[in-house]
Amino acid sequence: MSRSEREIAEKAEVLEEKLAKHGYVILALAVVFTLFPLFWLFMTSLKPLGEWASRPPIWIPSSLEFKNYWILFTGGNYSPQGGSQSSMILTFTSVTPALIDSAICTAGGTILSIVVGLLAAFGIARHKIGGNFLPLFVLSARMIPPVTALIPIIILYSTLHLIDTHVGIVMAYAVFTLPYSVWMIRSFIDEIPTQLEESAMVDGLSPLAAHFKVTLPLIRGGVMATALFIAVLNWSEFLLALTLTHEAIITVPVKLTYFVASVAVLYGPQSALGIIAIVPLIVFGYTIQRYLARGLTFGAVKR
Amino acid sequence: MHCLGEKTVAGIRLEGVSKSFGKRQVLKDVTFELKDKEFFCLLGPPGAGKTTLLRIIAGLEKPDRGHVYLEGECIDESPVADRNISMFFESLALYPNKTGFDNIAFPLRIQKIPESEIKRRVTEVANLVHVEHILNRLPRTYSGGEAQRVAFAKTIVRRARATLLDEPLSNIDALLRLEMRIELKRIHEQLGQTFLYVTHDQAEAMAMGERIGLIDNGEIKQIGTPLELYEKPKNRFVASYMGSAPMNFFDCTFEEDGGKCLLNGGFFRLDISKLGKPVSERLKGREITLGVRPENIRVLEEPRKNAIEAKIMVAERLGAKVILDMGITGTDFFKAVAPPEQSVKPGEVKWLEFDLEKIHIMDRATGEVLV
Amino acid sequence: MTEISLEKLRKEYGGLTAVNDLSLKIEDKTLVSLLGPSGCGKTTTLKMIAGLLRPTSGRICFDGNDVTALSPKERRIGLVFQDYAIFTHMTAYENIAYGLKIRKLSRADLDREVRDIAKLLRISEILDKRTLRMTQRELQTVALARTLVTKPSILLLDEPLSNLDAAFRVRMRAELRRLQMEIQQTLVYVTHDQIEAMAMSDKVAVMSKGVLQQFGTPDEIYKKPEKKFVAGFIGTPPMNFIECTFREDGDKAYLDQGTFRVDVTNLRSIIERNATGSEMILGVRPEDIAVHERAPTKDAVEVSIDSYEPMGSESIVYARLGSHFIRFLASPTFGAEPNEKRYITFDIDGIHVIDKKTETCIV
Repeated sequence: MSRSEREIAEKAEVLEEKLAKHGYVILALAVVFTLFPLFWLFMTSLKPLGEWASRPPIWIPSSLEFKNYWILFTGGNYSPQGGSQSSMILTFTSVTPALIDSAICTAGGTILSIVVGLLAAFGIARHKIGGNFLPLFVLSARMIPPVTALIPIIILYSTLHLIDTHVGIVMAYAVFTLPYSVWMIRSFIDEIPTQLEESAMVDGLSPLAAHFKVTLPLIRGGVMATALFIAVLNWSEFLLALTLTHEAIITVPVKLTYFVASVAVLYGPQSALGIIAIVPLIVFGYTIQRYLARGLTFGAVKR
Repeated sequence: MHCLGEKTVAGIRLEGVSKSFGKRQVLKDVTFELKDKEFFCLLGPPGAGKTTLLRIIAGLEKPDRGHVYLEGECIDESPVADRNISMFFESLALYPNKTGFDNIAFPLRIQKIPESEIKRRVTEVANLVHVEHILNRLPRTYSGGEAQRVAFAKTIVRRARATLLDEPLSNIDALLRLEMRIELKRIHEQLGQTFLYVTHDQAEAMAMGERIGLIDNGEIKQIGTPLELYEKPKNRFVASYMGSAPMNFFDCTFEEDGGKCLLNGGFFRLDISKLGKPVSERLKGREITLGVRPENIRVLEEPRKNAIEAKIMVAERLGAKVILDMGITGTDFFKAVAPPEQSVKPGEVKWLEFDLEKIHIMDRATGEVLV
Repeated sequence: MTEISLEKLRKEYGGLTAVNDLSLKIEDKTLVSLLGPSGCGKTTTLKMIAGLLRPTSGRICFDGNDVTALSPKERRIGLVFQDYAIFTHMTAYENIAYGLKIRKLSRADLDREVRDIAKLLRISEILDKRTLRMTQRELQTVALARTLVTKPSILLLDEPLSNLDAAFRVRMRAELRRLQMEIQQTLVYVTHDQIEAMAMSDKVAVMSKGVLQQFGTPDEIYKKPEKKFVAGFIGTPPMNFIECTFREDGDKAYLDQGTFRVDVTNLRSIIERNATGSEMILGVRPEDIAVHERAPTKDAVEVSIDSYEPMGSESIVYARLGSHFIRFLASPTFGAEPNEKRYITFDIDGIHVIDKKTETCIV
């Protein structure tokens, strides 16, 4: 080892030690930064009327107003306090249909995206279909802001009578998340050596059977992770849900806008809906935890 | 593409197979055949095209030109799954999410063989390679040798028409490798299958092959029994590749001087009149290279006619023999072997006698062996 | 050029002892190999000599000076790893010069040093070649040059030839040895290849599981192994070990295997003195066994041929002797069908008698 090589190694050691000390501080800052909005949302969801948008802001509710939650399911109305528009009443209907619509669109969109993505990823990764062009073309769908495609899609949908239908949303979601699905799954497939499939093919499996019986079980974790990622995107998607529907389908992000009126915003129930909206994703993520284990492929191949 | 050519009873037959990847031609008009049930070694340096050849036979690659026959049948158009060939991959290709048992059973399950039969055959083959006790574990818990044996069991459990093996012993340490060599041969004997064994290790090929095919740069250089390749190489590549102590090569010119035939190597002149007239006729007017194996050089303490004087540069004491690195001019070195009892120290001057019966004389340009 | 002495060197990782009280003296200007299977502690020992690892206990001395507390830089060692660590974007000249950069030499001095070492290693012509275009041999020589140009007191090599293919390795090991002898450099060489260690070294330190098994010249460890491990590790094909019992019959002594016995009367006193019991292992090297079609003497042992491997210059034959499997060498043209009978004789001078319990070689 030459002297300069040793010096570089020594310098790296010192730097590492410095970072370790300050690392905790940086971590703490990052945690606060990330979790604060959640904290605020949760606190607001439990605040009684009047504390929602007060100045100076109230951090912790004086009393726990659970009404914000159960009123979401029954539907309700609020009248603003004071002011000349005292006769104005803000009403909203139950959020249950919204939750169901969101579930259908998210689940449908995710499943469609994953299934098509799987097939496309195998084609690209194993059979080099489309050469260098196709993968980039698929990815390009994500390079343009969805807004720019919106008007053509609306025209297309209305011609096909897909406006305000579950099918319409599901397909739109699948199309816009396909780039993620194809690219992420493809990278997982690339990690699995082709020799495993080749060995199975030599032993009698067709290429397609080899993909699904040999490689797919090994990338299960990756596919699940991709599904979770796409599900989160779909669940929180606002723009398409808003523009491609009227009243038949309302997803949760859209429903949230119903709590906004010209005179006031019902922050309490709105925050409560926000908190409720998070729950299904957490449940989903938790249930697929066990599939996300890495290290499944260790030992398969030498070198 | 239609297969022409006679039907033979060969195990595997390759005819004019050529393959290029982009600009690189990996296989050039390869033609040879394996006898039925033969243990054939395909030997060559890394990059020679051996793995590509195996993959073409298995169907994982398609040749640009040429045909492949299995037991007389042309299999060019057969899809991979239908060829009834089994292959041992250099990387082992063990399914990491399946136990050893399931790994070995997988080829049989693909064929939809009943479970009871599968259990019997897997156990049978596992006993053959001594892995019965580790069948219920996952591949990542296996040592190198265990993984190699399970992968091997997985390859032979199918009793396919032919078995292709891509460097099965390359990752095992020396002692275990010796054991596995014997076991592989024993298993081949018991199974009665055709084995096409690929390796770059000439000692391994010599130890195991009934016949060896030497390949370099996509061309077959020679095919024959181990001894044939060792004692009667047809060209320089074969001569230099075979043998654990590399052959020595000297550039010479042929001279006739007063009834004697000499090879003039610059720093030595070797009298080869003993070899006779036909030999000298063949050598006239050519630029030649002389090849001598280190073990065919005798190290003498005193000068003798036709012996070359040289100085010992390095003495490698290997216990049973001593390999000497001999130098004459200071830049040309060659090797000779001496028995351990002989006194051989660096700096000593010795006289080296070449065994004329065992030398090889090659055409310098083509590398073809003339004598 | 320096003499190295290791005194009771020990390295422990938690519960694992990688190097166990190793004491060794490496003489000035010699090439010493640390030989052993993977995990035996040889690389750990090398790293401790280099200063990359701190020993748990023990001392390392260069020329009598305790260097255990010194950093690698201060020890002035030269180290070449398995993968050479050559800079790929530079020419050979730049690579070699890199080693000297820290010393802040003048342009002229730097140039002189680089060219001197290049001449010594016979790579002057490729000084301007880019490393990407170089052959393995050139790469290795440049790596060596880069280390040697700093004029280290000792040179440490960690399996430098293991990346090369077999034929090449044979050529390179002779070149390395020639070079070492020419520049009279003290060299410590780590390898798991016993042929390589035997070929190149002045002395070999055989290690197993962190313990030094034997330290001696290649001839010594080959002819006079002290432990069963050394006897079985050195030599290709490996030594045959046959279990037997030491028996005395009147004024004769035998090693009795069951199906045959070997007369060891002239070794009787040595065996009696050093044995802990009567359970012995007879060690015979394949090259000390001769095979015949018919028994030449009544001591010849009948064996049944299992298989053989023609290796060109000789054949390795595997045969069954009772329940044992033995290997021996025969002529290149040897031929036999499986289960054919042959007769073998041992070279009595070459046998080793090993105490089964202590695994030490008595003879």
